[in-house]
Amino acid sequence: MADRIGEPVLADGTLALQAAEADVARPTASRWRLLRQRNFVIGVILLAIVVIPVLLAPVLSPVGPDTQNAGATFLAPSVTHLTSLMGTDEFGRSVWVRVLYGGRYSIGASIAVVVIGGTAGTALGLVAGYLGGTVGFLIMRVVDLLLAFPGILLALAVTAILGPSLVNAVIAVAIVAVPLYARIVEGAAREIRNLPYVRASRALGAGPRHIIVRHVLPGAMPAVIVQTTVWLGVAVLWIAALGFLGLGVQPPTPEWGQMVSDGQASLTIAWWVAVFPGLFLAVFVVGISLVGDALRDRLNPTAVGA
Amino acid sequence: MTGPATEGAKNAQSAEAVPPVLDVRGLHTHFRRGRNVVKVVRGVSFRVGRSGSVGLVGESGSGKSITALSVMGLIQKPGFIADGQILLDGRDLVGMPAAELTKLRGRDVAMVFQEPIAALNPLYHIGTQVAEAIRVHQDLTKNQALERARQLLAMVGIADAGRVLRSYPHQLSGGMCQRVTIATALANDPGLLIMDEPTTALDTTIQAQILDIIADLKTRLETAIVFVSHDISVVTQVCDELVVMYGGRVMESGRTEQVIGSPKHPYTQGLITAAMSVSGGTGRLKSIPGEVPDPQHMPSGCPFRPRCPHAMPQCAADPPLSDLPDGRQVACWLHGSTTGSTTVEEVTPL
Repeated sequence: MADRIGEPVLADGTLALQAAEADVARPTASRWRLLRQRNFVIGVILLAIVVIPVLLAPVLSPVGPDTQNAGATFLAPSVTHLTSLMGTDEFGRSVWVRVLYGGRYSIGASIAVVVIGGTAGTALGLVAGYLGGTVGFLIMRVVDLLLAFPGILLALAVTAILGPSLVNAVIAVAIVAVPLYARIVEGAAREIRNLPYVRASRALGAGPRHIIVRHVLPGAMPAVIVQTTVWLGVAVLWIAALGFLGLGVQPPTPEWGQMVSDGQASLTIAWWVAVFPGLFLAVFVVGISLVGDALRDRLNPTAVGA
Repeated sequence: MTGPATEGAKNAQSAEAVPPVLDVRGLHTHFRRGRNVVKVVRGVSFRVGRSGSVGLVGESGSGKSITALSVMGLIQKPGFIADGQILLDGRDLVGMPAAELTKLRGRDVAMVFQEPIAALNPLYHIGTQVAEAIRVHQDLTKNQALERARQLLAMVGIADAGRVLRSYPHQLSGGMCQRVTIATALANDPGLLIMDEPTTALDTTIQAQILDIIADLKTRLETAIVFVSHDISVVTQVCDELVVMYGGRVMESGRTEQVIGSPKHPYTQGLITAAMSVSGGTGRLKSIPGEVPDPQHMPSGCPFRPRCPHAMPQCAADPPLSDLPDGRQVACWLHGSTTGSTTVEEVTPL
């Protein structure tokens, strides 16, 4: 009876030996794998092209972003002077300088949107997804309500109530982002809370907070990161849209989206006023999404070291 | 003065004085399904003494795993404990507030699950996970916890503990992961360790290693063990006592050698015959005809009645779990109080 399975009663030493030979692979090899992904490298390069000049704006700017020059309006782009590298606009302001400074507002605002909206939405989604039940139900119905609203209308309503300013525009767009984060994180959390390792962790005495922070959140991170890379790009456009309607950045503060819409009027006589900020915007968004895709692949637990 | 009789009396006395680690009394665990209530566990009682080891055996669907999860307080909606008591060190876990149960889990009672790799988070190193399990209950620094983790891994026969601690779960074999989860479960010296099919997902040689480790731990530690398995031959290697379950009920319980040597309940006899035919030589494998009843359509009376070779009209009434003179318990009308005269021929191997 007993000899079916308990064949050799191994001494402790033999047991230990056999245990050691089980395949323990080197964990370091995959750490730099990300860099070997072509899309990731391209994305990083594109981001660097945009972000580094924006960060170095004061160094690379021979004039201020609001410095007007009545004698040099609508100058075509030329490489002779840094000021007119990308031409000048209707007030003779340097497009190059305004693009650099504008990037600070655009990128800064979109990062703020993602941080505020992403954090709030993720927190709601985690609580709703992990707890489920009545609490989860109530949270998700509020989220559904917000989702049912057209986003731009919601943002308009919020800025109309709070008053037009960049900060309020950021808050408005963040509120639009909250339900989208909450929904995807809730789905992930609901899936993760039933995984064997979460059950095992519960059986070891981990409380809800520990499980949410250590197991559910990291498990939901790939989804959050993808959503974030999408929203970093989308938020720039939304901030621009609100600016265009006079509810966001106030002139003369430069901001990419607003520069594009300002430049529209003179597109036929001076294409560069709208095209260069648009180009920076596009490169930024493409770079972000390439990096986001690569990060998502890297963070997918089933793909790790596979 | 030191005759065997007085010795036995002394033991009985001390057993009376020291309460069992676990005392499950009349446990009923049900699940809501739509408007119906599915009764998965229906009045299960058993005890686990200090440093004792009890095996819960039965086919899939017998309610053994749900019994184990009930003891852990891990029954989640739509499941609930409908009735009964679960006394862990004399404290009733049924109706205990969730926060208190959380504190208790891992410290007083821990559990090892069937799927060893899935029971570990793929995102963290083994060391992080073992250390965290320690730090949930003990006030140690990260480094102290890691040192303790190293000792724990050594205790379950992992020679290269340092390297295993630095590995991710997917880099280890199933057997290695199961050693890790056993070590983790023992991290806070729980009085009771529940293992739910800990070797079922492993191949036979690894299974033997894990069973050896469990047997070894049993002799070295004071932790009591509840070992849940469908495989009676595995359970007998580890456990001093057996609880045979079927249809959410206890069919037979007693000391392992009693139950294996002379099974009283026809279901136990069937299980043993089937296990024997697997291990013993040639010929057709024996099985118990019929299927485990669906808990939604449980037959009245003895749940084994439809498959039982000795079924009789009386079996339509619930057989009580009655004590036999040799100290074990059987729930069958062939034995016990009223119809004790009828005996079943002992099962013969092969």
